[in-house]
Order: sequence, then structure tokens, then C-alpha cells
Amino acid sequence: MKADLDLGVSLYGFTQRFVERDDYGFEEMFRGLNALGIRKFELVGAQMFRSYPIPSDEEIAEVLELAAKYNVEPFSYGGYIDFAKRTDRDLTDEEMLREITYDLMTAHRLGCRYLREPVPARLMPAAAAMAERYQVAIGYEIHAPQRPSDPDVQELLHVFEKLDSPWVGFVPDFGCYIERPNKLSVDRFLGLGAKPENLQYIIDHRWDGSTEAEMTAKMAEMGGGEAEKMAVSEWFGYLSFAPADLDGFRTVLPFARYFHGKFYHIGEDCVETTIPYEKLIRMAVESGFDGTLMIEYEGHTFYLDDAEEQIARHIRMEKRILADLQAENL
Amino acid sequence: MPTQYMKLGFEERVLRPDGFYHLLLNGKKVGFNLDLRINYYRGMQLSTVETLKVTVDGMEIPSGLMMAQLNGKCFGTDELKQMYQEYWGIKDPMHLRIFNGGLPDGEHEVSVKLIFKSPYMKFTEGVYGLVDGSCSKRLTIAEGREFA
Repeated sequence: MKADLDLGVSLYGFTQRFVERDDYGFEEMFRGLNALGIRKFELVGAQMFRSYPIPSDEEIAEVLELAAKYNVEPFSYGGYIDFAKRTDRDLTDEEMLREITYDLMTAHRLGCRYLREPVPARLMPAAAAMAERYQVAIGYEIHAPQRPSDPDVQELLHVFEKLDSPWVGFVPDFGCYIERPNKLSVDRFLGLGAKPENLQYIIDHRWDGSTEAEMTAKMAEMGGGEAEKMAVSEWFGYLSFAPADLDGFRTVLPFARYFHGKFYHIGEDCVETTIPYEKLIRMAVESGFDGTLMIEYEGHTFYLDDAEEQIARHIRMEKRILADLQAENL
Repeated sequence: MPTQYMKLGFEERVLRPDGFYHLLLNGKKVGFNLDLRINYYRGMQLSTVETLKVTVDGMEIPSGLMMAQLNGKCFGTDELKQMYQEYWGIKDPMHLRIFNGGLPDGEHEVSVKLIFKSPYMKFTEGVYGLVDGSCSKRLTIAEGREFA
């Protein structure tokens, strides 16, 4: 078994500093990639360009010149389809296809091999044809709270099977497989006065079938206060977690174009405690995948300005997993 | 339904002291400038600005006295909703020129209600994500700059 997965870094991981500091831009981020020993990167247009979906020639030139200077390479371009940007109505299918084309144009100008774009299943055949013209493959990201077993993802899978095209596929995000809350989130609620045993109860019983309202009531019964209430709200909401949908993951692997390696926090020991990275990477490698895993740090959720250190730890973890896999076959 | 209102923690940057100054025309005070930045993780089209209200020292500024300047262009606040081809980048300040005849020197209580309709988050028919970019601050007005 070859385990020669390549690692890249999404510039999205530098969100905190990029948004907060006037003096932090492409040059500083590329310098950061150098420090991490990373060459391939992903760029999110709506975030990093001043004009989206059509960035100016100056903006494209700036990225390309600085990328050459720092010996890094635009690998994938993150697009949106801003279907709700008008106030009178949503975009029509024809207009959405135009937005997809604009993003393909930008990916092409940047020299990216991939465009990550939320293309609806019904537009996938037309998008595949356009992607082939631009020679840029489109990846549909499977992103939390979505799970690969969800009907809409499985519908896309059937579309991909039918199209049998190298120009469309999935970008499975490891953020779909968060199995328990991370330490930052737990510590925050402890700091707000939650009892450790109450938090543990929520974690242990999150998937026992109780609704958010029932869990909130249970916390009140167990003597919980505001902090427990907030924990239930977040852990049933945007920081939800669940047993990893590994069977679903297996079904989408044949159409994985590249992966998103999302993570929120990793300790000094470089061990990921919330997402089963080892299992996921092993499954990806066993499926024959030998492409790129794009690391995506999401620490700005907690407003932490520690991207370089966190990503460095995450890279160490990924490399250790890959080395172990390789060693098994020596 | 997921949370419809989102307010991220980049509120500090919405109103910065360096964006609040007297506006002069031929040396004479005509109003004041307020730079606005987006409290979100990405930029958005100008059309996504659903609400823009400015209150200074408890008095709301009539929208007819405000002019928005961005990307080298000028817009009346009532025109914003049509500007779906005009992008407001996350790092770019929108210069809000407010021609109210000017403010006295010193500190002012400045409050901006700024609500965006998410250009890509829709929960159900007619229900979109809303990004709350509002901010209130006590700011000292800076030296006048000539408005050109």
C-alpha cells in the first residue's frame, strides 16, 4: 500500500489574522506556508479577493508573483455560488451556471487544478462539460453538518457514477466526522461555571435520541445553569458532533478529487482527539487515493490567532499517520 | 432551523477611530466621515446590505444625508440593494460621507446598525441567513480632511 498522500494548506486557516490586520496579506501567508514546509495552497476568492466573482488582473498578478517568489503553488480555488446576492429573487439555473463559469475562469487564471464549488446535482452535467473546457476539475465539498450517507450526497454520487467524468467529484471534508467536542469548547463551558459531570453527561448522551429541548430540561434537573444551557445549544447546533459516518465515507471515496482536512484544535502532543484522522486517512489510502489533503484550520471560530502553530502540529500528526501506514508495508 | 442571525467576533473592526473625522469642503466643515468594515469572514456584494442606520449622540442620521464611497464609486444608501455586481471586500472600508453640517470636536457616541443578507445561506423559501455587522462605540472625532 502506497501512502504518498500530499499535504496542502488552505489559506482560509489564516482567517483570524487576515481579517483583523491591515498588514497581513498574501505575502505574509505565503511566508507562513514556507515556514510550514508546505507548497500547495487553496485560496477562497470571496474572502481574499477584493472583487468576487471576478477578481481584477492586478489581484491575480499579485498572487502569481508572490507565489513564484515564495515557491508555493495555487492548487485549488474555493468558490461559492452566491445565488442569493440579488434582493428581488434568487439566481436562475442559467445564472448559477454563469457563476460556476466565473469561478472556473479564476481557477484557470490562477493555474489551479481544482475548483471547490457547491454545484447542485441538476447542474452537475453542464458544470462537468464546462470544467473540461477549462481543464479544471470541480469538487463538491461534503461539509458538516452534511454526512456522506445523506440522501443529497448519495444523489450526487449517482450523478457522478452516471457521468463517469474526471472533471467532477467530491471534496470530502474530515470536519464531517467530529465525534466529540474539542478541549477549547469544553474548557469554555467549564470556565462559565458548568459542572464537569454535566458536560460529560451531554457528551455521553448526545446520540441517545433526546432532543435539544429534552437535554436542556435534563440539565436543569441535574442542577445545571446558563453554561450547561449554552453547551447544549452549541453541541446540538453549530458545534455538533456524532459517531463518524465511516460507511458513508467509504461510498464517496471513488469520487474523491482531494480532501479537506478540517480541524479546530490540536494539543502540544500533536494528537487529534475529536476526529478519527487515522481511520479516515487509512481508508483514503486503501481506496487507492494518492492525491492531496488540504489542511483547513478553523480556529477562528474561537478567535484564536495561532494558525501557524496549530497547523504545524496538525502536519506532524498527519505525517506520523502516513509514516505508520507506509511502515506497515515495508 | 439553524440560527438565522450570525454575529461574529470581529466587531471591533466595524468602527475604527481612524475612520471617524470631520469632512471639509474648501476648508469649511460640512459633515463627517465614518469608515465601515464588515464583521464577517468574507466580503459580500453591496446589495446584501439590508439595513444601514447611523446614530450619533442619540440622533439618527437621515439617509438622504449619507453617501457611500467604495471601489472608487459613489452610492446613495437607497441604491445599495441594486448593486449585486459591486463587491465589498472584507479588508476594504466603506467610506460613509455624512453631510449633516458637521459635529462638534470631542467624543461622540456612534452607533451603526448594519445587517447583511447572506448571499449563499438560505434556510427555507424567503428565509436567508442574516449577518449582524452592527457596532456601537464612543469615538473621538479626528482632524478634518478635505472631501474630494
